[in-house]
Amino acid sequence: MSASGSISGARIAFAALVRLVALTVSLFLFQSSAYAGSRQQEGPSPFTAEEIATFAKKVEKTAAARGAYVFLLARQGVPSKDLPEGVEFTHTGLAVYSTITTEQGETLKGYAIHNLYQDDDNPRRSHLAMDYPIDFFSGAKVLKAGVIIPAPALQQRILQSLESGILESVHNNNYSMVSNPFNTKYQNCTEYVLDILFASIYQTDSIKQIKVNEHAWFQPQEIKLGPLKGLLAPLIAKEFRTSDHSGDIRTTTFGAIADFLKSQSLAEEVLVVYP
Amino acid sequence: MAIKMISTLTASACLLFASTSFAADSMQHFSQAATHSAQATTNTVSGGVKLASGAAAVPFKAIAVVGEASAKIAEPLWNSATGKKLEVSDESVTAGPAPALAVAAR
Repeated sequence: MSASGSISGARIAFAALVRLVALTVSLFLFQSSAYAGSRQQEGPSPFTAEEIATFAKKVEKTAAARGAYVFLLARQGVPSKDLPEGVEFTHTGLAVYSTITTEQGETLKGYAIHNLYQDDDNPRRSHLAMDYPIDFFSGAKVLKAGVIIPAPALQQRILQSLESGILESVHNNNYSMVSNPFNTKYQNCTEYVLDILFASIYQTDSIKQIKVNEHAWFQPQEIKLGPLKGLLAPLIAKEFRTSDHSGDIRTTTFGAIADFLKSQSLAEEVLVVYP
Repeated sequence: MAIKMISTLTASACLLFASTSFAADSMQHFSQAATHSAQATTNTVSGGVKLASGAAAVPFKAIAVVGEASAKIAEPLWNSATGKKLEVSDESVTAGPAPALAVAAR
């Protein structure tokens, strides 16, 4: 083979490699931004304001009809085809029945949602924000709500924890979309809710004790990405940080929390609400 | 070949830009639009949905007692409060745009 032939072959191979990497990057970006789910605003909504408001109100009324003072609420922030295997929801918050005062001074009854969201200017950091169902579902790509209503005794403990300032004391602003719930290096939105649950169950604000108990009782969900995506993920998505894991990536999901609460008879009801 | 490579990389860059920028701020536009719409039509978005900006939210009053020292008082209150259908106002409440946007808009 001539020298020019070798160079030409190398160029073709290089071009093919570039194309493969570019394609993989593109595909991954859609799925990774997707799985994150902790952004306060997750892109343009495919739904009208009326559709979102109507659905959000239905979710509120569904929980209220069951007498829920506190419930876990989850949304699907990406199309179903982009969800990792076995993952159904991308963002979880804690809904608390509240007396809401509007800017006009009117008093309303409904649910306020307590969330951990990624910072807009730094996806590796997070902040806490309270919003309302209509805001929460503005980030949904599918009108579908995951609802876990804890057992009344657990609801009571969660409310006691809220009174004692647990929302702030368990927050870790170092964000990873696949944070390991068994250590304190990173935290994502769903692990934040898990930490509140364990703080409430054991009536402690000691994050060390919370992690010990989670390790003993909670089973996180494995996130299967495949070898190439697993390799590229940390290079592409800043918030995809895995240094808190050894071996498989196992993180907190809405489904894993539902399984845990059901296994301990601490879930009054687990349901999915559709329009 | 070079053109194809450039096209492929450009397409990837566009996807990168699109996914990150959409995630960052687009829905704040929604919130603003919804709020502005509500203000423009006397707290009503299309379809008759009432919308209001929430200024504060306090967990239900019966619950506030739970945090106080007298658990004996709290328990009967809690027991009488649980298991009953709760009232939810028909009006929808929104938190409005992110603080950084709200400040920048002034």
